[in-house]
Amino acid sequence: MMFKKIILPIVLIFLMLALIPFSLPAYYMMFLTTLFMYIILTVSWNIFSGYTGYISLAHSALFGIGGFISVFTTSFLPLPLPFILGGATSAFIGFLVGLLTLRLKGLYFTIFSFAISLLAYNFFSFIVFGRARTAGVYIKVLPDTLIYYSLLAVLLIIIVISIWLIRSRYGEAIMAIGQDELKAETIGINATFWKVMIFVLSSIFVGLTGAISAQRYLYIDPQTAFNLRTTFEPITMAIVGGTGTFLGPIIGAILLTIIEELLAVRVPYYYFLLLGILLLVFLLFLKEGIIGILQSVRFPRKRPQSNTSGT
Amino acid sequence: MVLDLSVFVQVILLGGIYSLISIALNLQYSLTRTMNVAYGEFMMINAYITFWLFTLYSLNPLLSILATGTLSFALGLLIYALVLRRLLRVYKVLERFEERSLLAAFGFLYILQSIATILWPGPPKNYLYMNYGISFLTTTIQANRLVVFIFATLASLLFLLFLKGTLTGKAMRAMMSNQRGAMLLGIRFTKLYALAFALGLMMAGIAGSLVSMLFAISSTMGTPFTTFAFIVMVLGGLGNVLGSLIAAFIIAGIYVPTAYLFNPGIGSLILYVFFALILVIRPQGLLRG
Repeated sequence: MMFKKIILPIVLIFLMLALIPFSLPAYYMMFLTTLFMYIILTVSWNIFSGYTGYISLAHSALFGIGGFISVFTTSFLPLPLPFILGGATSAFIGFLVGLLTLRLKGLYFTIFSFAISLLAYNFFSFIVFGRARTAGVYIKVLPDTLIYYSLLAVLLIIIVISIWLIRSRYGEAIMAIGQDELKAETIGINATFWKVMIFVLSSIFVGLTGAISAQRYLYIDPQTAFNLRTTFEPITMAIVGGTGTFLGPIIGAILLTIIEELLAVRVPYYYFLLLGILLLVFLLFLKEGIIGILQSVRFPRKRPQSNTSGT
Repeated sequence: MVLDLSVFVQVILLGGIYSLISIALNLQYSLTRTMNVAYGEFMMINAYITFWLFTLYSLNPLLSILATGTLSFALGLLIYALVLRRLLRVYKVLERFEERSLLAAFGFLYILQSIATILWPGPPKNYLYMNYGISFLTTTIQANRLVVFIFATLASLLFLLFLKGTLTGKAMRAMMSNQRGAMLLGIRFTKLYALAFALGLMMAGIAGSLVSMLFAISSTMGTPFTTFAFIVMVLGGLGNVLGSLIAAFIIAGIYVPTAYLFNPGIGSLILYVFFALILVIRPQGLLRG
């Protein structure tokens, strides 16, 4: 049952994706690389914020930090190490932020996670690069296939981990915190501990993705590395797809990455305008996301039944 | 360089504008439970409006406060009617509503930034108004900074008087300290809710007009204001309007001297470190308990 429904499809999909660089033109590989990046960022946002309900706005900080660490260390470290170091640094920052703010209930975490992006930007532009605001680093770009396979590997890991998480008792603990933190604590769940752990887990993937993605482009500077869009896009993708579910964020990321591919180069600001409007529309009218629409089409009569039979 | 009277004067002047922003944001959050991360963007739109009114029709920026204030108030009512009312109905649990209204505000942040970039591309804009010095003891004060300070402080004080003195203001404070209790006393929730949100945006309009006299206007000018206001809010205590007023001057007192001695980037870095310290030592804010 589990093999047929979960493991087999995943193995097949990833095998197919692994063959893409050999079979399709380079354009598709580039597109899929971007898609993998967005799926990882969206799923990593969802495993923390989607399940616990604590809204994290720290993605752009963690992404940029991972990117800079990997760019700084590639000259003297062999290859997977800069990526891992980038992920580890972001995890450490995530740990500090979580420790500092997740013991407090309410919006302190969100406020601080918003500030940390600007803090990281200021730190890199004024301490690392001195006063000049436009300073950055030139990068010896890595081969596209290497980036593709690295992100594919990270994607596989995060998908396996998030499936395992949902089905494990740890996942249940986290969802319990998201539904009612006080009750979860009453039945003996150490809420602060689990919130920090999951936030660190999420941060590792954001850092890793930043570390790998930074090596795609010729040049990196604080302005692009810490752009708030790295926070905004995954959140919108998760909300559009449906938060707190496994498939929802993936569907949202795929759909919006296609829209981005069509719009972002030609009319970037219309793309962001559209994203903002989509975010509002889904928050207001389609709170279950696309996954909710799909489910209500597939099981139209199930809802009222489950309401009445709930114990 | 030494710290002299001019730095002290700058602290006071900057504190005035911070307190206006923080008071408004604090009121908006504690009454409507909407953490408005797009606050700086609402300011930015009004800064642009003030800039264009001045450049095209040479309208005095201080007069355009009337326009931006009214317009923002109306916009606040509109956002309440179209967005917040619906969100309140869909997400009945307070925590869920707080999460979703914050995300909606994040959506507004991007919508407003995109609109500004589409409508007004090109380099940051600024204009000169009252750009001369007034000598004061051993230092000179920029006239526009002084005027901005006076108007910001007036707006803050009028607002505090409104909260202290009028019946509506008292009802608002009652709602801030105990929502359910206030509703039991017969205070009408929805009416005050809409009013509080609209008043918050009105202050954003006024603040936007005022900062347009001092800073370069660009689509990304807003977020630093929002973060500074967040830090002030947490230091003064969430829901504590008077706390925000005082905390704004403390924050300016930390930022201005360090920005003056080193550079603005280091100034804001030290501010963020200070922010982290508050969260460790006194997350409930200065004035509470």
